[in-house]
Amino acid sequence: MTTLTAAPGVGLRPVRWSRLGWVTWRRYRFTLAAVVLVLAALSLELVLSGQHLRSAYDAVKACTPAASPRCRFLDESFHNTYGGGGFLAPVLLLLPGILGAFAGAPLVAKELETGTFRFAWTQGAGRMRWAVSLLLPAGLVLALLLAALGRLVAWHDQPLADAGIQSRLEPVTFSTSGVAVAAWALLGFALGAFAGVAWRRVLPGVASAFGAWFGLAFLATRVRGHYLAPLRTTSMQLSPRNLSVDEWWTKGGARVPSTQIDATLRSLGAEVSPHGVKVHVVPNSGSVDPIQYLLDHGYRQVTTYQPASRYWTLQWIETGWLVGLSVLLLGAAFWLLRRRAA
Amino acid sequence: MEFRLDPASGVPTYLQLVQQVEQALRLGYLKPGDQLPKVREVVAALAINPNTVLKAYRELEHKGLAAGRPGRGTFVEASLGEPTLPALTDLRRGLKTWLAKADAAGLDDDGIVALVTSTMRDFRQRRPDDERGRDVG
Amino acid sequence: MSIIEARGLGRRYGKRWALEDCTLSLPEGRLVALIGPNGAGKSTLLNMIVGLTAPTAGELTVLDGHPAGSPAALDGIAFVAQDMPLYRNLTVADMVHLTRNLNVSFDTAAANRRLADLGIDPKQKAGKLSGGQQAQLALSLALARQPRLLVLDEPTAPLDPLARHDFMATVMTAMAEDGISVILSSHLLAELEKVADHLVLIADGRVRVDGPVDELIDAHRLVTAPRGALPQGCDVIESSGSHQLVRLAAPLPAALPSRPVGIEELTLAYFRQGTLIGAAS
Repeated sequence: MTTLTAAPGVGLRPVRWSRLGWVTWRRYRFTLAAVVLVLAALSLELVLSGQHLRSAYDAVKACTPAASPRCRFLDESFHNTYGGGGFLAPVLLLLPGILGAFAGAPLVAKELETGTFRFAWTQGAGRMRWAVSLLLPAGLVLALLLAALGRLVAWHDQPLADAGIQSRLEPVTFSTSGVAVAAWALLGFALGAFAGVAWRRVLPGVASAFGAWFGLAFLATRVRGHYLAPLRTTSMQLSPRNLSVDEWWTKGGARVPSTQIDATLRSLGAEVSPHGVKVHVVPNSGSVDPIQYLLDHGYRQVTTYQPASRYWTLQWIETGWLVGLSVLLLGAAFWLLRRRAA
Repeated sequence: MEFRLDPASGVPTYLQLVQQVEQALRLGYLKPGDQLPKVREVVAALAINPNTVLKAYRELEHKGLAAGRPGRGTFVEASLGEPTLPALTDLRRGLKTWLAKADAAGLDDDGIVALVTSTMRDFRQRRPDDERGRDVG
Repeated sequence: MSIIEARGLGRRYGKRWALEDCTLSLPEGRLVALIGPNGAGKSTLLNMIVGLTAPTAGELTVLDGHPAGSPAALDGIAFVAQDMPLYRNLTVADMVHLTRNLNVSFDTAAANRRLADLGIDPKQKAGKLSGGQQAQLALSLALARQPRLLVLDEPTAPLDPLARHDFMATVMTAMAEDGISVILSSHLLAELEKVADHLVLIADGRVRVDGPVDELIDAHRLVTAPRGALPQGCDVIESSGSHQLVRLAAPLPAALPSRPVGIEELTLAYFRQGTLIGAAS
């Protein structure tokens, strides 16, 4: 096989990337297999569940006449059965963060924790090349795998979007489909890598990375609606396909504080609670529908929302800042790595 | 020949090697023209520093007992002019007889050594060394 | 020719200087024994030489004036750390292949030959090997990189005497055959006389002793006399009433009874002196 080469220092060539790539593959092929297995199981569940969903929806669509009690019952039971999101939803929501943190943190932290960095970083390739050959392929593979999963999620949720049960802009679907899912996985990975180098220990690294990821994911749900200036409507019926951002009442163009609205509604016999307004309408009894009362007296409900048509624009905006943040974190991880003393 | 090391003797390693070569020369196990063990072999067997072996061989060169031939190794150059093996066997036999006599006279080991040492001193003083570079003791 | 040049080298962790004012010029083709009490700065110096830690003061150049930690330095220096870190789940064959892929120059055939001679099964997982075999594997990988300098951090500590002998025999043979330089950090003072050419003793973060072993032995003697009887210029390393271990500046007067001091005795005396200094500061 290989034999002697030139004396060191004389035209020293750096170690080839292909060689370093082999090292990463050899060390982590079983971990990769395990991840692929988990994702395959998840995918299988999605495919089966998706097929059930589709056949149920096809039955609803095929039912005629659409206004008949039988067809409306079918429609309602479809809504009830599939509107909740199922057990997969929280799993899929957290998966990019979990996988990212568990992939990113141990790559460097395990070496530091077990002391093998004393071997790895004193080889001819040096620690920076070693780190790049480890982190870049892993992050890329993770992002690609989750992008594929996201495609499957989008396929799965198609009937729900068509039926108007679920908006593609809702957190459950938005962050687990399209390109954003890959970006969320990348962020988890970048957080993991940075935490791993910072803590030098696997467990604190994974835990803090996931914690930070979770916080950012929560923040994103609040901020998502404002990526672009939301549209406004005074219509009382917002299609569930759209994502409502905020709603308030106005009178004569000026905003009316909600406390005043609540008081007015209560005086008309409605129950106002944090969950909404319960209005008992008894036809022909002479009592008033409070909402109608408000509308008759010049109150208007303004709703700001993001239309479903903006799905891809919003996806790319979210992906943009996620990738930007990830790049920053990875850069910080490399900077910290260079400075790391034994 | 094979070297052996006595780590507890207090004698520096290189000196032990030198002494063992001289001993081998004295007893006739090494003759002029014989090759001394290669540095690599000594080092592999004894786990000592090669520079120590080189130092021992240099010392032997300095004493005129060996010479290095570049690329070939280190070879014995001269002998210590000690008696041949048969002569030694003869001397050994005579010594055994004398020791039996000394033992019968009631001398213990320390007494024998003291007698030999003092007699040797007298012997050397009356007959000075004859240019053979022999070490005493 | 010096293989390591340090000038005013220092490393600080927070407020504490782990190593201070270290100036060394270590010779090539020699085995330098690095000794000192634990926590005295030995590991810090080794870590800086192999590029795992950066100095906070002074400068350190290795091989032919390359900065420590630079690509040329990493290429020419092979390090076997304490506890011989290896990837425990990889097989021996994988470790050989992996090390080859992490380096520019690597003699795979020699590594495999050496491992075969030692009876190490290439399909065995590295973590399942015995202590002695792990040490030999780590050493074989290091030597196959054809380094100019081999740095060993207490490599024989966990080994039984036979394994230790085999390990050192391998190192010495590599010195004899390939002319490599070795820096060995060790606590096994009794064995230093067999293997060390040059001695560096670090105590309390500073270099206390630095020189060829022969010169050091020649320069120290244990004098059987009270302290007052010593001539001027004698540096007393250790004093115990009737015995003084001194470092000579000039030959002792013949009347003063004295004997030479072995390496182990010498180094212990400096250890104790270093501890006293450390306790006083």
